[in-house]
Amino acid sequence: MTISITTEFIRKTLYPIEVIDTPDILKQYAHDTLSCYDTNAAAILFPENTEQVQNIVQFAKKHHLKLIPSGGRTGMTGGATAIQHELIISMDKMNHILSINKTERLITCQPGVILQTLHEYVELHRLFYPITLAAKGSCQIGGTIATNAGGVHVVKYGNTRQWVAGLKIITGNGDYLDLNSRGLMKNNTGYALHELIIGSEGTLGIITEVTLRLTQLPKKPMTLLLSHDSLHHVMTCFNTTKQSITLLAFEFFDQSSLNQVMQHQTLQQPFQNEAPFYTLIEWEATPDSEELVFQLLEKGLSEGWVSDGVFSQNETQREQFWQYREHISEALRQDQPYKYDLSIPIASIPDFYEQVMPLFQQDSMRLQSAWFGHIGDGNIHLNVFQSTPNMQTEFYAKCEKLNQTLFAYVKKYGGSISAEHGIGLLKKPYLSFSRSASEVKLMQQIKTIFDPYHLLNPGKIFDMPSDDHHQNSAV
Amino acid sequence: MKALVTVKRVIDYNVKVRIKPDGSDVDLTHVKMAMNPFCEIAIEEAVRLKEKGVISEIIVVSIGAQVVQEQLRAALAMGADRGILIQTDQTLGSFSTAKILKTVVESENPNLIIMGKQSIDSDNNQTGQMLAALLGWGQGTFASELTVHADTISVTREVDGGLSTVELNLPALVTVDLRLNTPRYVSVPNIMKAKRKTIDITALETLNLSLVENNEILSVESPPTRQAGIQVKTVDELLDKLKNEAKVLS
Ligand SMILES: Cc1cc2nc3c(=O)[nH]c(=O)nc-3n(C[C@H](O)[C@H](O)[C@H](O)COP(=O)(O)OP(=O)(O)OC[C@H]3O[C@@H](n4cnc5c(N)ncnc54)[C@H](O)[C@@H]3O)c2cc1C
Repeated sequence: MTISITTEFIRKTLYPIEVIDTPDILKQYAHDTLSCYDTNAAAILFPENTEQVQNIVQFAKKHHLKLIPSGGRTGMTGGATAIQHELIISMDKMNHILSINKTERLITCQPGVILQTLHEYVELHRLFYPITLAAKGSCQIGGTIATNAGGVHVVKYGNTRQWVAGLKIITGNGDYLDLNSRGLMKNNTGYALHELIIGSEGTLGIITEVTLRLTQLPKKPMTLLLSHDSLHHVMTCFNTTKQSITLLAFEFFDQSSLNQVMQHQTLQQPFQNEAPFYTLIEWEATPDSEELVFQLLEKGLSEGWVSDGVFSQNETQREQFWQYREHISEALRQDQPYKYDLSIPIASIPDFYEQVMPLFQQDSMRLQSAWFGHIGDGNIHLNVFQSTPNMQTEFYAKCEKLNQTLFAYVKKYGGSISAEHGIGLLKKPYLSFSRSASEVKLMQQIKTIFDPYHLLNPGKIFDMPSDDHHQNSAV
Repeated sequence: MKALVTVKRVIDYNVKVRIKPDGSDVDLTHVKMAMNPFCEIAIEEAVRLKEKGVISEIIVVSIGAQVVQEQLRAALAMGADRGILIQTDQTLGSFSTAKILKTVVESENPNLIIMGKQSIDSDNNQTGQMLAALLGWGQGTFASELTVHADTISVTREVDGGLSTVELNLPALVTVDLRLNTPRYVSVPNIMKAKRKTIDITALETLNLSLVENNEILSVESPPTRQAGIQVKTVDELLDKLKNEAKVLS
């Protein structure tokens, strides 16, 4: 049975919620950073408050429509992508900061607030929200919670999960839930339901209000860029520095990543001599930390686990150092790479690298790779691409073939196929490498409790056993 | 050939400046300080001239409190040979600074002085000119290119209408502009080497100069805040706003 619902009908029924179905805007809102899917959204809705979101869900329930919660669409796995004629619920208009509580260090806002806007706002109040990522100018608070985003300061501050104090949501059944939205520090009264929503990629409920924890501003950061001749030496460097200073970031990239950035940016070469690996290290300055770091570096240079290094002298240089790392993804984009976001127990990373590199180099593959990421928390963003991008379909087929072997290594080393980007559509076929059949079954049951009609973000993370994928659609 | 380069410690170029609550001055507590960007360019140029074999020694000088040694060390790590600190906690205007530098020049006898065209805190753009006048030397300001010859130096200057090139007899004084070069990163091994280079510290009082400040800051205010921008969804919405709100279209 297919029910056709016109945009006009939606607009009239849900007035005054803005509804847009202009083709070019639809196209733009129908996907995140992944462009490999045939998208087809039905319409985009722009609610302005929790009540309007509830009205939308109840409307969808009544008319058997599917919904996609959509944030800044900076996701990397197709989590906010429409391929089944869904209605997109954009949080763009729910972008107000509601209150800040300096005593309890809490901030309450709507989910559509841009991460960077929140940073700037709390810093005006001399406080700090420590989750930050290269997409901060576009990603939304709701999106970062729905994906449990990590970012560059996880070594010190953990993931988004650690900073969410409470939520208000509308479930797939259209129910309004207040999940510790007052942000109580202590509230042991049964299951912490808001924890389930964090990282649920829009499949359980729509986040409509957020209470986040804040902390004090960090001391002035100091930033180093080092070069190393092997991954083992990167690991030695990590272990040694971690013991002596409070790391804010410990990032890495390889020469291939740097080459890409240098082709796209007008930045100076950081070092006279190339090296296979580079690390970007940032720590909180304390009166004696600089001295301490230089003692370590002296040791590193003489023992060989540091080849060379540059030390940032001012904020301009610090930003430049970060550009070598943060522009990698952007620089690679034109090669349409196949992207991995792997979690590997830190100590096993060099072994993993040695096992996996030959896979790309073998004659039947001949693929290029760029290795970079948040190595201080075991997170590798491995990107694979062709030297001359053509025959994209064939290339993707190659990568998918490789996945079986590659993910088997991930499993062998006790890692995860997705560290921070989530599963979305892209990694769905490989979920079994990281989650057991019983776990997936349990997740499906939980989804059914929150979303009995399976109308929220269908087909993301896993498929539901009972779903007919070509059900009703709005036109 | 010996070069003298000056450096100043200023608020980091990329830091948002805050005003003290009483409006008496810029608030410097817990604010990141750095070498004035134009001074960094001056050091870089001197180091490049040394690498080309034109200059044999680079002396870097700064005036200020004990902490200014941080910026002198940074200059030494970039490649300067030794440092001089004229230590004082006083706030000095351009003319006093020029007078102090003159005494340093008289004892060091450099053939070339390279300075930033201005410091980004007071933005005065006059210390270099005043020092050249006090010394009676030729000056080439706003340099975007330098070429040193046997007894002269030619300086390409960025002026309003374009570029002007002057040829100065040595000794001479040059102030540098943004496009002269891009300062190198300071390497870790060089920072270590710089720790062993010397910085001579002289207390300002011992120079017996009579310094009279003829400027006083009455108050400091923030510029008016700008309204945040908005994102429009369609061209029509943009046209509507340009017509009806901004009233720049009719
Ligand atoms: C340059 C770049 C760098 C990045 N770096 C990092 C990084 O370091 N660490 C990291 O973790 N990620 C990173 N990402 C990925 C991405 O930015 C994050 O996943 C981000 O959290 C997504 O936020 P968004 O608002 O763009 O969400 P979207 O992409 O719009 O959506 C992501 C998921 O969240 C759901 N969702 C969005 N809003 C809501 C809501 N209100 N209620 C319920 N569900 C919702 C969507 O349905 C979708 O499943 C990066 C991306 C880019 C482009």
